[in-house]
Amino acid sequence: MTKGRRLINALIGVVIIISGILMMFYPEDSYSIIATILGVSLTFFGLKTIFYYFTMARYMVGGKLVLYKGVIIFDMGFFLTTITDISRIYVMGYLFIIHIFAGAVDILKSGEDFKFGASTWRLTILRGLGNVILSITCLVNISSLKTVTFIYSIGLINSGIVHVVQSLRNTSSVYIVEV
Amino acid sequence: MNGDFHYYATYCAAYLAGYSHKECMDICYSAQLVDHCSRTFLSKISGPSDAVTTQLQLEMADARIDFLGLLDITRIWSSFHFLPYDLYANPPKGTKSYKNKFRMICGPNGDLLADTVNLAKGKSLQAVGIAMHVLADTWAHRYFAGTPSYVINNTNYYFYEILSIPEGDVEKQITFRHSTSAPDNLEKSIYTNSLSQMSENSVMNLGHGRAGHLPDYSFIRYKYLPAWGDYDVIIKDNPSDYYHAFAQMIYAMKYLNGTIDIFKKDKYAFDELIKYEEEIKMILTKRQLDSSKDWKAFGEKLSGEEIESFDLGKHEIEYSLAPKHGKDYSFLGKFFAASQAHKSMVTDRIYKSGNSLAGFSIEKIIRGVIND
Repeated sequence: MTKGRRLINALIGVVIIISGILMMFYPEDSYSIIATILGVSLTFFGLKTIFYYFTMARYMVGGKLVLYKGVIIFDMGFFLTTITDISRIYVMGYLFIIHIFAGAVDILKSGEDFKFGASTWRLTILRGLGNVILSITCLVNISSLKTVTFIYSIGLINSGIVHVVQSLRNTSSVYIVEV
Repeated sequence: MNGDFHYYATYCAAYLAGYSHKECMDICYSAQLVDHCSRTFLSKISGPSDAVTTQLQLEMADARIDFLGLLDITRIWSSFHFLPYDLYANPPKGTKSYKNKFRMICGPNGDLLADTVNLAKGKSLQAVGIAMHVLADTWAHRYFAGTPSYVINNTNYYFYEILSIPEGDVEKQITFRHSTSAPDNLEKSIYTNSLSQMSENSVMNLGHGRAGHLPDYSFIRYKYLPAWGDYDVIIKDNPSDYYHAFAQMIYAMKYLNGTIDIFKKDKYAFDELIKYEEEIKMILTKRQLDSSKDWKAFGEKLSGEEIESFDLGKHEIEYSLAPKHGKDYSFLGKFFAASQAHKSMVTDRIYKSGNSLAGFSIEKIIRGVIND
C-alpha cells in the first residue's frame, strides 16, 4: 500500500468512527440516514454487479445470470431510496443476520484454535460472543429506534477502527523475494 | 489430493527415485505438512506467519476478502496448491482483469513447475517434499485457479461421473450438497461442494471448491463445463493424471538427488514403473475415499520398512526447544525456509508477468537457504 493510500484509508476510518459516535447521540435523525445508506448501497451494488458483468462475467459460462442479478438489485435499491419510511423490522433483521453469522463463524473458529492449542482462541471467542450479544439485542428490541442506531453505530465504529489499524500495520502487498 | 497421495504415494515415489527410507520419510512428511501448515498451527508453535502454506476451513470463513486479504489467499493457494500453468496465456477475449484471472489456472508441465523443481535442487529434503506436493497438485487441481474467482472456478449442474462397467462407459449425473460434515457418498454419486456465490472474490469460488473433492480422488473420471471454457466440456481422467503425477515425481526426484542431470518438462519415469504398473493402477482406480492403506502397504513392500502415520506434532518440540538462532536448523525451520523461498519465487514470477493478483515483489538478498 502506498503512503497516499494509507493516509486516505486512515482518514476514511476516522470519518467512519466519528459518524458512528455522532449517530449514537442523535438516534432520531440517524435512523433515516441509516435507511437511506442501505438503499443507496443497494443501488451502487446493483451498478457494480452490472459493471462486473460487462468486464468479467460475460466471458464465462452462464454469465447472463450476473447481469439479471445486477439489474434486479439496482432496481430494488433505486426503489428503496425513494421510500422514506422503511420499517425498522427490516433494518433490524438485516443487522441480526449480519451479527449472528459473524458470531457463529468466530465461535466455531475459536473451537478450532483451541483444538490446535493456538492462543488466539480467547480473542476469537470474545469477538464471537460480542456479535451474538448484538444479534440477540436486535431480536429483543426489534422495534426500538435507539437500538437500531446503537448497533449500527457499533458496526460503523468497528469498521472505522479496522480501516485505521489496516493503514498503520505493515503492508503485505509487497513480498520480499530471496535471491 | 489427499494424505494418501501426498504422504504415502510420495514416500513410494521417493523410494523408487533412490532415496533411503529415512530420507523418504522426511520428504513425504514435508509434502503432507503443506496441507497442515496453517496460521493456526504456526501461531501455536510461534513459527513465522509468512511460512504459511494452507488455510483451514474456518480460517477461510474468517478470511478478509479485501485487497490485502485476496493477495494473501492467492499467494498461499497459487504457490502451493494451484501452480499457474501459463502466466502469459492469451485467451481470445476478455479484459485485462479477466485475463489476469485466466492466467492463474493451474495445470501440469508449465514453466513454473520447472522453476519449482529447480528451486529445490541442492536444498533440504523439506524443499524436495514441498516441490513434490506442488508438482502432484498440478495434475489433480488442473483447470482451477488458486485465487477466488467466480468467472474461472464456477461450475454448474452439468457434471457427470463416468463409470466403467463391462458393457463400456456410462455417465451418471453428480448431485452436489453443501454439508461439510457428511462424507461423500460414492454409491449414489452424492458429493459435497462449496455454496454457489455469484461474487467474484468469494472464498466459495477458490480453487476446486465448486467441484467438491472430486479432483482429490484418484479413482474418479468426470466431465463438466468449466466457467472459463466457452461451453467446451472437459473430461477429467484422474487415474491417468495421478499415474502421470506419480511417474513425474520419480523423474523429478531422480533429478533432485543427482541421478539425472537435467529436469525437463513432460518427462516421466514410466520405465521404472513397468514392474509395478498393474499394482499402482489398481490402487489408483479402486473406488474409495482414502487409499492410504493400499499405498502404505505398497510402500512397505518396496522398502521393507514400516511407514509411520503422519503426526502433525512430530517435530514441534524440537522446534520449540531450539534456541532462536538454531531454529533454522531444526526440521520445521528448514521446512519454513523452503516454503518461504518457494512462495517468494512464485509471487515474483506472477508479479513480473504483469499480474498483481499475488501482490508486488521486491528482490532482496536475505540469506542462503540451509542445505540438508
